[in-house]
Amino acid sequence: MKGLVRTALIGLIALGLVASLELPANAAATKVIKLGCAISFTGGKSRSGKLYRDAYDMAVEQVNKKGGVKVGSDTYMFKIVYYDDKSDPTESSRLVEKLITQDKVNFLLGPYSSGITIPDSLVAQRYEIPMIEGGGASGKIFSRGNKYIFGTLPPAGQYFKSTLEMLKTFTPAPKTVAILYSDDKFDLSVAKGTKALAEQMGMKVVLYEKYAEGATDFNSILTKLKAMKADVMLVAGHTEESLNVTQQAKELNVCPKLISMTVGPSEADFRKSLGKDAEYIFGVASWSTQMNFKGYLFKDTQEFVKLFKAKFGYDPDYHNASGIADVAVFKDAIERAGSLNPEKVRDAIAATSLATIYGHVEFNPNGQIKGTSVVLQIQGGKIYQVYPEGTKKPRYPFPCWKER
Amino acid sequence: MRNHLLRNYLLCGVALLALTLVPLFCNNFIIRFATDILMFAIMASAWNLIGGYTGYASFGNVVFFGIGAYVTAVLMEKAGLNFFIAFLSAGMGAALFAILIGLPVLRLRGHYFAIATLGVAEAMKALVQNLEITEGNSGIYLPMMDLAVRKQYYFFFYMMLGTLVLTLIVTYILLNAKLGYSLIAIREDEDAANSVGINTTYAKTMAFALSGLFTGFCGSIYAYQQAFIKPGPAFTVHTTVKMIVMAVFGGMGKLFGPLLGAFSIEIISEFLSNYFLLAHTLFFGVVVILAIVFTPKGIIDMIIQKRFGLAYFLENIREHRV
Repeated sequence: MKGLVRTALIGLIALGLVASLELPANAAATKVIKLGCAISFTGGKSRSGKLYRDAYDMAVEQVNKKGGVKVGSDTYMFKIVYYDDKSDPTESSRLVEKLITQDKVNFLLGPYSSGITIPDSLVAQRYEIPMIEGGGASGKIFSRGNKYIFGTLPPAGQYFKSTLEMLKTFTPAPKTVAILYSDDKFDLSVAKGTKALAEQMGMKVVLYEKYAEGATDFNSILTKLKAMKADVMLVAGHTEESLNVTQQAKELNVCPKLISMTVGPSEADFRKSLGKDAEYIFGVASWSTQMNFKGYLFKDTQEFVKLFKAKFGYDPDYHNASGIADVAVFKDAIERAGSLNPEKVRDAIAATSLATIYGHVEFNPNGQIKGTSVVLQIQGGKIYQVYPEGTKKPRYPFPCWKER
Repeated sequence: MRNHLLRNYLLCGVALLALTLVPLFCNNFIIRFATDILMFAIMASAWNLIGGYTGYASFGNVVFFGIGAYVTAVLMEKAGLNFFIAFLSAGMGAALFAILIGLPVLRLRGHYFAIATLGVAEAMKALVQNLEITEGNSGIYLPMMDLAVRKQYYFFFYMMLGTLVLTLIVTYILLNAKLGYSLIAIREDEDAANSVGINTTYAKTMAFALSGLFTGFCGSIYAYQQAFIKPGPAFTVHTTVKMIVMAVFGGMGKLFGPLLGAFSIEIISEFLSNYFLLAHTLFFGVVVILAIVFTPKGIIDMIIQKRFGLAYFLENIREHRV
């Protein structure tokens, strides 16, 4: 027994030595830019963590296949150093520390979930190493003036931004907006942000009305809306509520020039249960496989979707696309900075203006991406991206219920 | 006997000195790692007071940690107070909470006590998630220390080390006083202890309050180091489980048991997750199970008895009929 224990111990030590010798030998062969990433392999967030890991891996593979990263006259390859944060913020921030001080990574990729991103980003801030994250959307991450954190998930407040921008392209442009929203946290942020944006763009918010989550009776709100003759009706809520609003709007013959909803139009059930009444209704989404953007690492979104599905056997969702954008921004920013200096790269990231398969990436001064949500519309029983640069043109104005 | 004691004091002194010097020779990651180990050493030792000595298996000790963290965050961020004031209030707040909650809950025994404490921690989490002053579920920032990174880590390390030393000294004094004997009497047979005139309610509540005090201190330093806390992670039952596993692994009801447990568990876990990115939890579970089967009295028992051979393991297995 004693002998067995000793053998096992020696074996373990040998294993440790081999593992520790291997790393520097590989690194010396080619010039490498190390990206550090502490993310959930195990624990409660591991499912979403995997989406980001798959995306990061695929993007890095693509960068290296396409000739790596050019810094001045040198060519570097990307390499990711991963650690498992066990879905625990304490563990995660400690591992980021390890990535910076022991593994000496050049830059950082983010973890999944806002609660873990914040402590991690504070470590990045202490060491002044830029971190790009695709997995935390909370405004809190960007509220403290941390210069070293950049996020590629759009804030809830910007959800309707592209819709409002689209309104400007119509002649005559609609002037009055009605906003209906459910009283949960997310929808509240959407509504607040939309109101501020609409007012900034010179539109008048004539109705700004909250309803209880899961409400079924919208008669009084809709009557008010009709009386105020709002041109545009924006709804931030859930599928059931979107269905009820649409049906009751038809019954009361409320017909603004445009109806758009956050949740509902993109779901097949919504279109099936409303049938013809769903026509012309607009929706928003931050990203979906139907979209088509010119890419930086990939030719376009559709090519990416095909390659991704072939590689991993599942359809990519917005988490994956966001992760791809993170790596793309790093490559672009490092090349523009022409240096691996963290400060120069940070400034280059802040100045990013890049077309990716996830959409156009540009950061707000606080580090969060400028709203990239796109406008969808139901046309002929199907949903299409109509703005910006969709497969179909937006159909406007909305023909009144009785005139169909 | 006297010589023996002297040697023990000397050993402790040398160990303490060695620990004090750690940060001077290591990189920031090691300092932070060491700080985390010290934190768990304190929490496991604090759990030992109620779980190891008194025999009340508390499954809700994380509640003191969370309270400590949130008291610190609210006092520093909302009231603009200095860290040391917040630190003391955090410990006191947690201790006070322990007394308030201990009076009803400590009447329960065995599984009932375990479940009740678990419930208290969950209830506290729900409360913090819905309060305005704690900024609800989205979490709360703390002011960051305005010092060079390295100096910050020195600060946190020495705060933790100081708290650990305090915890051990207080526990040591307590064990050699009447209260310590009362606690052990309660663990062995509470009714008998009661019948010989020991004020069991007082003794239990004191142990619980001290456990809360030290765990609250930990939460406070932790919050300041993290600079951001959320209700979910601050009140997670995982932390309690970790305290218990460390205390049991090292040796329950022994002064240095939990300390040893915290050091070995954290180092083993770090080693495993370094080399096995995915399977580390599996291996870690195996290590813990083997340790419990072969040395149910904790590894400190092995060291005290100076027996590392097969005979010791077999004896344990026979004795505990596993």
